[in-house]
Amino acid sequence: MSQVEAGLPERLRQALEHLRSKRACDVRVDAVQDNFAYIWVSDVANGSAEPMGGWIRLPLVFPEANPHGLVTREAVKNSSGGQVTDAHNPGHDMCGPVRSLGGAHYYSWTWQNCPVLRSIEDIVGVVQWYERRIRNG
Amino acid sequence: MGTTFDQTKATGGSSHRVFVIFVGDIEERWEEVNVPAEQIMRKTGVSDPQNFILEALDHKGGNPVAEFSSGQSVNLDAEHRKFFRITPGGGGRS
Repeated sequence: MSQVEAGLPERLRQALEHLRSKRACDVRVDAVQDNFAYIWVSDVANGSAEPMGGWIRLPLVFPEANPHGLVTREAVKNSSGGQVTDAHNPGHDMCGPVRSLGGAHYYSWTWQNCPVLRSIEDIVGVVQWYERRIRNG
Repeated sequence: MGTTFDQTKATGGSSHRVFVIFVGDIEERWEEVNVPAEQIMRKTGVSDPQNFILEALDHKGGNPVAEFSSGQSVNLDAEHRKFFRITPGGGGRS
């Protein structure tokens, strides 16, 4: 476990462990800023043949607070192969914490009108929610 | 005929098909071809299906190929209607 991850609240660490157990992919914490952790997930699917990686922004108090935004290295493509334009902010300040790792595109998606998060296991649905937003974005 | 596994049972001279589907790891059996997504989600224990999306996958644990809100009907005889997952609905932008 990285030093950054070791410093996370226990419930968020448990959520990350749960996500790793459900998805055979790289899940790690690359940064923490303004009470949000930048969680790298290496296989966020967009409905095309090649999955992509991205940093999902989870609050340190997850699941008591909601996810907010996605940062990626490249502009994300949707299931039709076109660029995702929904809430796309290239070079946004929110990329700052992972800019040195290539973070360059911020998608400012919020959990508005989404179901209330109840448990750490909900992190799996959160990633699937990001995937749906990418597919339809 | 779609990829949904179906089963024919003889019942007093007539027959009917049972569609066996999986929502995550939960198995469901339906005798209707067209089933409201709401009912499929409720059967897994989701009490507020209006807040979720039912996604049809291309294989178990695979990629979504279609999505259904709670008010939509799912044709279980269509292609890729055997494996599903339930994903949170909604979402905004800031």
